[in-house]
Amino acid sequence: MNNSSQSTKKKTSTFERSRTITGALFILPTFVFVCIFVLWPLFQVFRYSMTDWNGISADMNFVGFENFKALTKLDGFWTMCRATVIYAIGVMALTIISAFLMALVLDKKGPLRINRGLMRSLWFFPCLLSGTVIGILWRIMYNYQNGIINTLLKGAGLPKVNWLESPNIAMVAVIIASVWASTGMCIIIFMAGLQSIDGSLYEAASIDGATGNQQLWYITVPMMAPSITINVLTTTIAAFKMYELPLNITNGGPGKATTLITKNIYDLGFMSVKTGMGSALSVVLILIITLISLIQLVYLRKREDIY
Amino acid sequence: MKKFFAILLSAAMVLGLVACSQPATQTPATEAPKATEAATQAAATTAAATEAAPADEHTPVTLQVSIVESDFLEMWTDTIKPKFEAEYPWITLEDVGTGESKTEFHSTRAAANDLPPVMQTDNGDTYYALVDAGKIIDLSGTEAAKNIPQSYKDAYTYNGVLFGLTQGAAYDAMFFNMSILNAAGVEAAPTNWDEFIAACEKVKAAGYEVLCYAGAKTTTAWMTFESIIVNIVGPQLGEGQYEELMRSGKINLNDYPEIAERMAALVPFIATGSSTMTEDDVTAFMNDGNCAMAIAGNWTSSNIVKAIGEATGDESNCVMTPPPFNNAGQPCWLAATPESSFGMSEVDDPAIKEARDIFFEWIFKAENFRYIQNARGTCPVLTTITEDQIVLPDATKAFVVMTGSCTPFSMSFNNVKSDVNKNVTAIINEIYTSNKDAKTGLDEISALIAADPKNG
Repeated sequence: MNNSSQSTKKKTSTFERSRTITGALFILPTFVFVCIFVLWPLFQVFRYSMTDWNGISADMNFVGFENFKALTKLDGFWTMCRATVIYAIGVMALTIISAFLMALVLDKKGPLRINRGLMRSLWFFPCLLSGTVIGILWRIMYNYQNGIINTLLKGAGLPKVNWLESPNIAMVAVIIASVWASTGMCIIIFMAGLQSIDGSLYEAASIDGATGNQQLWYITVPMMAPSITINVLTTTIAAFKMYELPLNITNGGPGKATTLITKNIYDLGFMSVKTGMGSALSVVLILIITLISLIQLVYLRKREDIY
Repeated sequence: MKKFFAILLSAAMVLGLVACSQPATQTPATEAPKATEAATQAAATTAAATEAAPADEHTPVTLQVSIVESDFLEMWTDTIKPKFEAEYPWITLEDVGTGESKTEFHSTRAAANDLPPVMQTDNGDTYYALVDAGKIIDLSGTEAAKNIPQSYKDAYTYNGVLFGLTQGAAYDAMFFNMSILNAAGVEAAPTNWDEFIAACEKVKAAGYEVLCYAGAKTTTAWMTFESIIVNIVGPQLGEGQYEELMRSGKINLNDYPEIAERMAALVPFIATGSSTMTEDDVTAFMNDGNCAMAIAGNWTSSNIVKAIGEATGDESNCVMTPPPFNNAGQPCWLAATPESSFGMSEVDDPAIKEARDIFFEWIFKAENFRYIQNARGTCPVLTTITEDQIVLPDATKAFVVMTGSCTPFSMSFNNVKSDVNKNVTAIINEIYTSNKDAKTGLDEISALIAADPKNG
């Protein structure tokens, strides 16, 4: 009996070890890939941020936190930070709201019960385009003189809007384009969330006399909390990291009104050959994104727990 | 089975990564003085290799050439590459970086120690850093350099290293749609500031858009600004002094109040949207036939002349002149600059080095250089080029004659650092979109130039 038990234990132990090794081997390629292409560059960015390297020269001197101090003296640094935060919040809020509403409209089981297969595809279509293509498309559409938006406004008897030359309107223009580009993916996630809600909850609520709005507020929204969490987080992170779309629409203008941190990282690193400072700004961006993501995560997880 | 696949995948991944991490074949030079040595060697190699030799005496090589500016790509593919490869059958040319940002392409390739042996270069911090790092070589010993005027070589000399030979000369130009000007009661293209402003007022009163420019590009955005400055500052200081002040950061633009006055006077006539226009947008706008004037580089003359021709039904309705921002009775000061140039990077492989030197000398021979020259439509710079080898649009030909009576000055993007160039562009656009008044803008521009001068 004892021998049998020991033999079983031994077999289990060999089996477990074998499973662990197999699992580790499966993970190994990805692990090596992540180490070389994610973790190592990340480490290098932190390292470069404390040097005066210009990205080309073999000389690289340790300068401590000098690059971080110099950032605050950078022309338009605070304007750029403000623009980045406004852009990220604007894109996140409008994307979540519009995607949620569209998901409700497109979902069969939602209170509005409208099924439009073609519309789903159309909404997802921008996700297939690169940010550069979207940026160029919207820049052409926003053209004051012969862009389609102003042509339509003029056709409707409305005054033309100077989308790209007025600081406040330019930021709105960039946010609109970004929301258009990112809504599709959020709709897909929201629709997955909606489809996982048990239909009997709506039936029971109807029997109890709940109105459509009450069903939305007390059933749909709480049950969608995990989807909201993931969408808010991914959209916020993507907005903070966005580079090519505003660049192609406004090139950071007028003035520095739509110059985001990412553009300055590029300018410092590649145009001004100040790789050390560019890396320092990247570190600042990483810290901002991490901090905001953590705050969002803690808050949204709490909301999920409540429901 | 699972283990087998896992091991196989891991091995493939590791092998792939090892292959990717092989060191580049070109070892970078780390000291600038090496560049001069390389230039001497380049000249020596070139002298030996210029005579085409049979292919079987050479090891076949592929020579990378960065053709970042794609406006002569068709000519490159159809004519330049086949012609060269027919003459030197052991060398295969490979164009790289086409259509990419020049600076970004070269700085990333430099970081990987993999610069193309022949590369387009430009004035800017990236190329100065490459010179300092000894990664691009001194061309002063080459045969090609002997056929480029000294002023153009000076513009591409940094820390004593001639790092580029220009493709052509670029000028600021004003394009007039004479059909609109005539309809507004302006009989001839204006020739000075007063006539220009009078023409602008008439065109505006007739309900047309007056003047557009490509504000999305630094070079073209500066045109609306610098042509005003030098026609005021230039006659007072003399030739070459304005550039010196810009380089040393010792210019205070508000010391010349007329600059702010003229910029402010221009604001009402700038077509809305200009600050965000690209050069293609300007062409499209002129093609719409509702805008009377465009300020642009002579390198876009073919497109704009054609656009005005399409808008009016006749290309002769396009008149191209230097920007008429001079005072009446005074000669016009005209911005001129060498265009992007070709340079060579440091290479270790002797076969590639030989191919690099052969191609570099070959492309700067007049009978080959004309292909680039004519495809871009820029003004000739090569001293050996002959009249029959130059093909320019009619309007550009007339313009080239006019440039002879102007006083040239060097476009300031050559005289300020990249950061300053970019930030000044933003301010110019803010002034011309009424987001900032001219005096405040000029104060900010002067401060930017003073804070980080090129010759600081």
